[in-house]
Amino acid sequence: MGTPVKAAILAVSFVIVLTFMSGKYIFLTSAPDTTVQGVSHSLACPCECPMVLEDCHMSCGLSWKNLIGEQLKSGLDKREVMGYFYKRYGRAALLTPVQRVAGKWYQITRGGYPVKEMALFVVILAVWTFLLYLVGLSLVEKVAARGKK
Amino acid sequence: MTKNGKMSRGTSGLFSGRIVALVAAALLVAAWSPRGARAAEGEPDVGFMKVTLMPEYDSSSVLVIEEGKFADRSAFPRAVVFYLPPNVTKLTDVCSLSPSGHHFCQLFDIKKMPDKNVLNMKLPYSDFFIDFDYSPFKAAAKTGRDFTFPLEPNYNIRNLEVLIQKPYRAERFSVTPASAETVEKEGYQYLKYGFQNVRAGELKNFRISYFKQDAMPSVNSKYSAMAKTHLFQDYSAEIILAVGVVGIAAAWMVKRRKAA
Repeated sequence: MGTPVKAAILAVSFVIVLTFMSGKYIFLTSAPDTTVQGVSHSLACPCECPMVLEDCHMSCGLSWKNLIGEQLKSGLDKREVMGYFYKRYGRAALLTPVQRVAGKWYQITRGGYPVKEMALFVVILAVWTFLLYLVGLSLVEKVAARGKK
Repeated sequence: MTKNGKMSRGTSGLFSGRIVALVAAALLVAAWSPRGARAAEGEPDVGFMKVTLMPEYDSSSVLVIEEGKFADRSAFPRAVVFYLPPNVTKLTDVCSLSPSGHHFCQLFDIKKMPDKNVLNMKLPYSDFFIDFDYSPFKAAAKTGRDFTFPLEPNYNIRNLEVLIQKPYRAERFSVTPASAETVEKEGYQYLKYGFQNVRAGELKNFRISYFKQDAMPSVNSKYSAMAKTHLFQDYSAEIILAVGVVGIAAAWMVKRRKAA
């Protein structure tokens, strides 16, 4: 099998794994909705910066997160807390998908995640890319063999 | 010639004697007063700086937030140096803030010295924000905590504000020097200190002591604004990795069998 085909399989494998991993771990949150992190994942940072509120540690962001903590403690759920922020601050408090991607990309590039976790992320990316590559390669070989027959 | 020569030697001797005396005096003053020397070097002044200490806030360490503004905005971007206490366990944010509020978190270099950590960073704007965890004690149930936070400014500070949060459930909470002002903020009690014209290198020590029956932080991290973002909240990443490795091993074995 030619090198361009192998390179294409490798590239496709990488993109698939990167999309899945980024979607699951960076752009979606695994923090429960009953926590400040879980709620602030869906809100924009009020400090006029590109960050998602959960990543923001500036005073303006902290005051919002404190408020979320108070509201959760008083028994409100995520939907109600988000409703409060929408009513009070308008659409600017909520995140568009593009803002989320930009905010999370900013968080990655500023080194906002623990090094150990980023290393684990890269290792998973490499292992699964290689696995998908092996599977893809074997499938393409099978298809090619059938074609020859 | 001889006369002139003598005069000339005498005059130059007198001048060189004066120069030596002046240089010696300048060196003496510089050695005796390092702060004066620093001001002469043209280091910028910090216009306002707020330092907030939150012992056992959301972990068993002390959360410290240092934020402020340099007085001369036009002096930036430039490299700056901050002194942090020893026992810093985690430097969470080292950032600058643009006039429109954009974060510019910076790459930094930290040098460990016996009595402090020296943080070097480049600030694109005059506003700065640093937060870190610092562990001067081991939190255990039914024990007293007693530590001294050394605040050593590396720049002259025109207005310095220090806030020390009283941890929840702390007994016999005391801070030396004593504060004249107590403020209530978001359900927490803070001791507030204000200082004017603090000189670079002027060490301010805050001795904090209290007793706690438990070793739990003030807030449940579930409700904490300071909770850090993690990529992985559970063990799913490790599981995904393990499955991937097993998958590769299986694929390799299948390939080997086929080849055989």
